[in-house]
Amino acid sequence: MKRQRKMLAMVAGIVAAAMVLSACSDPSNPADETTSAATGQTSSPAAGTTEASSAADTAATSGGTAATSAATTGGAEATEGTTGTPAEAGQAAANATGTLNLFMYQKPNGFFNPLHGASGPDQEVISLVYEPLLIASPSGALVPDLADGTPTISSDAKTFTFKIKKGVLWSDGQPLTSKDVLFTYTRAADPNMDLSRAATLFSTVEGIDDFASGKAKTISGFSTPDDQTFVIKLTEPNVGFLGQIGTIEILPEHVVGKLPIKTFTQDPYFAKPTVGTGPFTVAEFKTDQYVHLTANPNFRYQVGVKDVFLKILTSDVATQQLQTGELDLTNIAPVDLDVVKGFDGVTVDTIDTAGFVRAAWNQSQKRFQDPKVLQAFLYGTDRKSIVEGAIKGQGIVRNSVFGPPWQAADLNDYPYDPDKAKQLLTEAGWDSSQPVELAWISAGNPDRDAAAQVMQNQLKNVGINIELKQVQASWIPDHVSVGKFDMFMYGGGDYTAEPASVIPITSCQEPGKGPNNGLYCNKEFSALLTKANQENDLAARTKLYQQASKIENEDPSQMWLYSPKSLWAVGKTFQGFQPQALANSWFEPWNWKKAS
Amino acid sequence: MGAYLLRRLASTVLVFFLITIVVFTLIHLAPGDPIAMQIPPDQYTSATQDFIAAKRHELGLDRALPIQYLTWIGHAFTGDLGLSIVNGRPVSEIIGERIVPTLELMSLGMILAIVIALVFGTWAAVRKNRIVDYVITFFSMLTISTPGFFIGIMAIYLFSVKLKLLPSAGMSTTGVHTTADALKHLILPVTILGLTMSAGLLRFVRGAMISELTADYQRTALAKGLTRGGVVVKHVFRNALIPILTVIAYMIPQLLSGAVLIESVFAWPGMGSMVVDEAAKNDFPVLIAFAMLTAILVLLSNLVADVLYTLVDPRVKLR
Repeated sequence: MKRQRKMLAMVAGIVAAAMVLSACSDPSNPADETTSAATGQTSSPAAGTTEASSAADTAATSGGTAATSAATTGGAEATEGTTGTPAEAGQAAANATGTLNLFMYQKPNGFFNPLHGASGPDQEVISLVYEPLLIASPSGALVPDLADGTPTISSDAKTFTFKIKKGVLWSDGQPLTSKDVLFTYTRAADPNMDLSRAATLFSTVEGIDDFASGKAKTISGFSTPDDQTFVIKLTEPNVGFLGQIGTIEILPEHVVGKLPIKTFTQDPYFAKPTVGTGPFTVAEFKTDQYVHLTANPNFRYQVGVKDVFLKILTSDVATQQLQTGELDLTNIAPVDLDVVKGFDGVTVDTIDTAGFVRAAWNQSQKRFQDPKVLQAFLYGTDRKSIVEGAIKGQGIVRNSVFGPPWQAADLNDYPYDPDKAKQLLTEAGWDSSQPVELAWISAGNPDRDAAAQVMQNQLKNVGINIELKQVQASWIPDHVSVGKFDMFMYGGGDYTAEPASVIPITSCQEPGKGPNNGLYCNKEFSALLTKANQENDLAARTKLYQQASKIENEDPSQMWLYSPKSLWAVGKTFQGFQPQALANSWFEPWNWKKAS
Repeated sequence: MGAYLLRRLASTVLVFFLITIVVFTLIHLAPGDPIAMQIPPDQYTSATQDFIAAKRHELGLDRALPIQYLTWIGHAFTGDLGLSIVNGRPVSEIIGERIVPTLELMSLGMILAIVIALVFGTWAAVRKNRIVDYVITFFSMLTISTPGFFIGIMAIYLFSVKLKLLPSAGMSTTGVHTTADALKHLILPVTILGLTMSAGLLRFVRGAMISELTADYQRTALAKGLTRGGVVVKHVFRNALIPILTVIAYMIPQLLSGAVLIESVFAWPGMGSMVVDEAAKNDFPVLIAFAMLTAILVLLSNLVADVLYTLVDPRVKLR
């Protein structure tokens, strides 16, 4: 959902300043950041994609009877949400000690503003300073953070009611109220702001058109019956909406409410935001060196660490500094796993993610419109050997656009079967004289280099002539984004807990007019997705997605390759770290401790 | 001499303008629109292309290249290098932040390189074809043939990881703001830059000293009763110094590229890492400004070297 939100945020980039947009991409690898930028979860180039682990049930999706049943997700954590040792106002930092040095894989844009759009490094800071109503837990489930319990959804899936935790203070001592939520969401939709989401994320909110056109000063679909309650009304059922909106971090109206709207996302205030509800506030941002954060004395729980430094380093330097103890945490690539495991006093935590590597076929080309051809690509490639070789077994073969909970149990996993591939190609009348150009960004992605080689060698045996083409990021806008390519391999992230987020990337569309780069078009599939997003009953909704996953399994939207694990190397004195399924966001960072 | 200087200066200015035109054109001809590149392909909408076009128009990127060039150069003369396309900050501010660490690294590296080259080059020359000369030659050849980044990585492994004597990277320990700490961070990068830069210069110093040592005036000086040490210091060294200075001036551009490499090994927040970042994003204004600064540096050091050269060798006519 965060990914979805950010994706929409980025889509809204149409109205954004170029500089703002710049926020979203990894310079070396924009294609890879697509999904991740979409999610605001850019992943470390070294470590591959690190996204939500399992797209567990979304808090948003259950519902049931009239505006009562709270959305629940698996396990007790779902209703409890984030926890810690409660602290008296002003005393949260009293016992905070020590300094943590964490790896930041790329320099931030320096606008630590949740409404700015998606840039992974900036998001790492944002998620220490601000908090959303709902947050993804390490298992990928959405759990309450600033929200007091899970929100309620009306039976028609058009009204959502959030309760906000009592007694939450901003770091300057002011209380957090539902007015701050109203301010944040309204500002996010403001058409005068660089990155308005009026036309995208908020398009189904009641009264959004009047607000966007300037007819109304407020959005009638948002209301605050009291200081702890925030209600959203939609014009049409949109179950996936809750998960998408709930993860937007809330801003302090009393501090940032007066900043100019037009340049809000890039206001200099956000280079050093001093007021948040999160466990830390920014003390210093030393361009290109580090971001220094200090414990927030008014946080609602005890904060364990006094100072946190996010250091901007290359992965090589980070690995060195992990060894010298100058760094407490870094992402590592599967190829480095054995080396790092040998380091004295360093442990490696791995977590499944739903990040993935896939190749899009350009399905506007007639030859890629026959599902038999697409299946032949899958049968003709030994994807298991790619997992073993390219990512040293640190991941799994992927087979669906959906995360595991939304996949049917009996999906075809396309085992390596060159004979079957040949047969399918013959049936489809495949012309093996026509080469297929497979493009990818090589820099920083040794796993993809290996995968491309394997594909070329193995597919040659079944009569598919792959030509390899390593490209630069600059190749993408003129080719991938506008349908001028054969195949393009790139990384991406999964739909944290919200399967509705696959709608934009699988809906029929013309080249250059949307995010469906492969120009996949399956009307039956799209119709099922629409239906599922209106279904408030979790079981029924899951069933619809599973049905859809069967269709996409037969008629693949992309050539699914693998989902790598996320690998974290943690120094021995860093305690309380929980690897987060979502890259670039932290879970309960107030429980971190630095042993001396 | 004055006329020569003027002519030489005029041609330098002319060359500078030609370079600006070439660089400006090349950078703008590079594939990849910096605005389109900011929008990942998974996030296109029906309005994205209109947005890109509008933004290009707003930034003037849709105008003819000569017009863009004239606008840029006009602003550049007033000290306005434009705004970064990527984050909207003034280019002069971005460069300003980065130039100090690079200059710090370059100047200290240069001083070290000169000291090493003069001391060991002279020593080798004086002890020509003896064991000291061979040892010095061996090490200087080794340094010339080993890339600086490799020496850097080895040094980090030895001094930071194994011996834990020195910090592995960066300009300071996070949260520490002391001079001692800053100096500690300087040791490895400066030493390695100085070492790699010194090798070539050392060979040159040795050569220049040897040719001076065998010059006739030396025999005369010895004949009139000077000690050998006195001759080396008072006459030989002084005479050799001028061609050496010329070479040093020519070395400055090389020093910059050396510093850029060392910066990436040591996570030194200077111009080197900046230009790598910005190149990947096709951030025209920053790249152009960097190219221009480099051009100025190269042209100026060549100018200085040429002028010095004419001073050394009167056969090069000041015409």
